[in-house]
Amino acid sequence: MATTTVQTSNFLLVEDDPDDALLTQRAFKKANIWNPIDSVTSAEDAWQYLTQQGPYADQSRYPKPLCVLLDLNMPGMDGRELIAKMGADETLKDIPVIVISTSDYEKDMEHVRSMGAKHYIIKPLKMQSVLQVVASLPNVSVILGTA
Amino acid sequence: MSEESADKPVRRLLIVEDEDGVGSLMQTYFSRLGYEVDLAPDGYSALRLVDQQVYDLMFLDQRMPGMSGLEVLAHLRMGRPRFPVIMLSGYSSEELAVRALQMGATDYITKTSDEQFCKKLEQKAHQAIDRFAQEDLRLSNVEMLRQRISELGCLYALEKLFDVVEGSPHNALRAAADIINPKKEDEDERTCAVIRIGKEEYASQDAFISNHVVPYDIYARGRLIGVLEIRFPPNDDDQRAESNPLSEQEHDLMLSVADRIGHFVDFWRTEQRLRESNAALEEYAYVAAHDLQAPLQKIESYVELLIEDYGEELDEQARQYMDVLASSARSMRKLVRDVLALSRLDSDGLLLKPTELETILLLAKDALGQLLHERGAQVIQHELPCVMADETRMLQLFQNLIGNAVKFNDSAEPRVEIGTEETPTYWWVYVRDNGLGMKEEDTQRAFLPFKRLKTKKKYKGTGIGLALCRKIMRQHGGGIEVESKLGEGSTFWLEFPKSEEAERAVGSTAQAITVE
Repeated sequence: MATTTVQTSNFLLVEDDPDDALLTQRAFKKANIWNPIDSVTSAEDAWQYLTQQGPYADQSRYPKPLCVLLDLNMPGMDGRELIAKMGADETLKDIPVIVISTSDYEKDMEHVRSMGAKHYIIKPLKMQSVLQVVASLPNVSVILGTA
Repeated sequence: MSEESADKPVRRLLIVEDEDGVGSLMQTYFSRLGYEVDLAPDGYSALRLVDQQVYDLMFLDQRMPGMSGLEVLAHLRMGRPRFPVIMLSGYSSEELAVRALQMGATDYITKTSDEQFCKKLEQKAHQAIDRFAQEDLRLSNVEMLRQRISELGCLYALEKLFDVVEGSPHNALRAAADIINPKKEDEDERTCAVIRIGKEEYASQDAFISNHVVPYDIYARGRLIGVLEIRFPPNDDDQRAESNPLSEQEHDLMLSVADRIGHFVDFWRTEQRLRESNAALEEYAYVAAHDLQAPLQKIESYVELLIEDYGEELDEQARQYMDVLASSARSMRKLVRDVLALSRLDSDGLLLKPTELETILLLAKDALGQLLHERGAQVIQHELPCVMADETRMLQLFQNLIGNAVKFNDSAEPRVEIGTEETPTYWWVYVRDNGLGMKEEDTQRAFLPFKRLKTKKKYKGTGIGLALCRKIMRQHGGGIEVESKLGEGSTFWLEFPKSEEAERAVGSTAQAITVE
């Protein structure tokens, strides 16, 4: 994006359940992906983060993320709404969203795809599926560990 | 008959009489009187003539081979033009006479062999035609009601109506009010029907308020639930208002109509309750299963973390406990997934299209690849038909059946054979195995959800697979049965209705159609 000058490498994880957040972080580490993962616990916070408002106003500390890891079912604004809002925003619509869901039900997946999320990963996160989905992201540079 | 009748066109008379002698005697007699006379030897030809020709009068013999006189009367009431009918009977029976009059005959006469018979006939004929002409002129609203009800075959119409209406009874009751009610344009000769069930009111079109009402109570299971009102135009005549202007026949009919409405409402309410509790149950199963998934995933994942991070600090015993925890969580999650799959069968629409079962079978074998390989199982596939089906569900079905055939199988060489037999209207696809089989008394219970017939320890499974299979087959308008003997394997029979569309589609690409 032309307006973004800060080189970013961080992911944004939007997950209301801290236990699940931990599992996601672990799965990425296990997949040997070492990009920093910032965590927020609601879609409202995620929106503030993405639009660099409130506590996230410091653009150098909170640059726009490389990609968003998103839980769908959250109290308040849910994941679907966030996808829709991001899609409608010129500066955010190109940030890829990976939906993390408990459901591998075909209908749910279709619904999410129709909402504009192209990438999908199912809990419990396995190393293999994390690698697969991250590799499929366009223009996302991954920091690989040396473990 | 008044004087000017001389100028009237010739009267047409139809004699329905199976006895040749009597028939031709009457025909000769009335022809001489200037009538145009047709003679029908039985009820069927009489009705045919009535449909082609307008008659002024009919003599109708009661006892005939085939259709009886009363039956002919009943047919005449169904939507045919009205004309006077005089019933003839070979013997005097008051009961029969009353019945005939109730059913719309104008008069009744006993056949005699004396010379007076024809004279009497002539007299009766004149009276009948006369009376009918007068009645015709002043058809009161009550007569209109009778006529309408008879013509429509009110009860028959109601029955048909209640047969076809599904879901809401409201439209049915509104339409019923219209059928019961004789609608007439003329302001003075209106009646209307109003059905009240509880607080709801269903009125025929152009209903009006009146002080002149004949009510019929509507009961369901002995409880008064409403009322059927026949309303007549308002009048100030108290006496008339107190009497029932409906004839005995109409009164009886209204009693039956009220009775039928009661049955209908009761039936509908019961069904509604069943539907609601069923839906609530399915919803509950779905939500419970769905919400159980997340914590189970968490248990599974955290046990894994524990083993990963602290496994080396645990002793052998502790690691074993961990394994039990992990595998229990896994099998519970599988169970939850199966329950979800079962309940989703209800909520998801069926996508029916011509489906090659041979293709489905390939996919199923592919999905079961690992299991088949591990057990060294052999799948023998004969020719299979193309049927109207939902592909996803067919895959679920065959995956379950073949999976079971191999899982519940102790044979050194597990074998599953799939083929077809055919009747004129159905394909019967069978899935036969050389597995454990089941006791004959268990063959029915096998399709109940959570019904396990084998011990959990030895044979894995959630007990939902066959319930799922049965549901899928029922959704496809077919069924599933099993033939089995303990220790001698099982044969599952799948019944698919044949369809022209599927047959046509064999070998060609077919368009999908969506149901629901």
